[in-house]
Amino acid sequence: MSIDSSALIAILAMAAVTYLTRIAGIALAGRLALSGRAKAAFDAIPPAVLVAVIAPSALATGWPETAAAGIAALSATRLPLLVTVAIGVLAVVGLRALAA
Amino acid sequence: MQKKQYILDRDNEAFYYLHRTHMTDRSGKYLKIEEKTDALLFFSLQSRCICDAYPRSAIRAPQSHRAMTGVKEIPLEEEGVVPATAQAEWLDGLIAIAPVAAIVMPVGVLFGAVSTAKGLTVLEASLMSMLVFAGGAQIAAVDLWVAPVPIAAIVLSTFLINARHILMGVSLAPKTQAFTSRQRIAAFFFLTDEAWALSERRALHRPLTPAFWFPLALMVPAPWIAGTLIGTQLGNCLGDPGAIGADFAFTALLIWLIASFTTSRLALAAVVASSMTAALAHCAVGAPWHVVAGAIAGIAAAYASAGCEGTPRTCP
Repeated sequence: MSIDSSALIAILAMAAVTYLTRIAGIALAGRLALSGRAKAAFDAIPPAVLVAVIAPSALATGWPETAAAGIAALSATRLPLLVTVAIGVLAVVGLRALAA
Repeated sequence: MQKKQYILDRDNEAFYYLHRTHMTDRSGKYLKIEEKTDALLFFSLQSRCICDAYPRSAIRAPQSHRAMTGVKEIPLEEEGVVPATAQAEWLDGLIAIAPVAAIVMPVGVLFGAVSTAKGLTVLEASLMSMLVFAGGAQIAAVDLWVAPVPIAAIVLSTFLINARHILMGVSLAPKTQAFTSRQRIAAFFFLTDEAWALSERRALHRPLTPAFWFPLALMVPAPWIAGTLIGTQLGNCLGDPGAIGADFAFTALLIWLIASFTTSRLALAAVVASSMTAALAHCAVGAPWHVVAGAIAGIAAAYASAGCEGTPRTCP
């Protein structure tokens, strides 16, 4: 159990900027009064951000991952979370075995 | 108990707490509410809008609703008013987060194992999970981790990967009217993708309450930290994560969350535009810029395909 000072600084700075991003929304939210198209764009933030996070691993890794993501997306529309994750994981293992 | 009269302003989307009331006038812009008992409940006057009620004297200064102290909230159940206790709220939160916690834990193990393999000490890896608890940013940081630690690069990468929290916070903050300012600042300390996504889903139907948020939000870092501790002990005995598909569990989890948001043509347009742009940006520029690029493209797509009234266009 040891830590050097630059590692400690890096971790504390990571924590600080992360908390900054977490609370910044509180300060900004009050200044936004949205209607019409702006409201529609705003409502699209949740799916747009989430899908951007996974797009590289889902679409730009290889065909097994892309196909497994498609299978997971299909099951996600009908099945519970854990079942969807299980199907996605099994699909990617199976398809990777096929690809290898 | 003294009888009081409140007025609901339909134009204000904030929500307020009322003593048990009934609406005496549905026709006008303002609804008069008469206080009947000291039980508390919410009113939903429009499908997506939990409208507000406040004393007549506060009409011109809506912020003064905070002066209505000593109230506790009981969320509405669609049209019928079903009281929900704080216990029911936190139970709902824990039930919602349980499957997520079950997935976060093994990913935390993975993180712990990978980071010790990359040369982080047990203390460094655990401290990072305790203070940062942002999976993507931590994995990227460990990726960048060499001796001496490149502090600037790690902090910049962390900020960019976590910049999405700003958008999430902007979206979620107006839905936390039931929180005091202090509660909100404490609550947002625990803002994570999963807690945010589940709370946004909750907010579609019910007002968010601290009793719902805190147990739910805490159950993301808790298994993440526990997983990290286990992972650092396992070290690199875990083998190749790809062989058991563990690396894909997080992707599948997020796909399920995205699907639960994609309920309109606008959302679908945003998802398609964002995924394509993010994948291209990831190949062309690399992480973490793909998140920024994808989010901007998705938001732009929704903006472009919305009519002036914020509804999907009916004709091309």
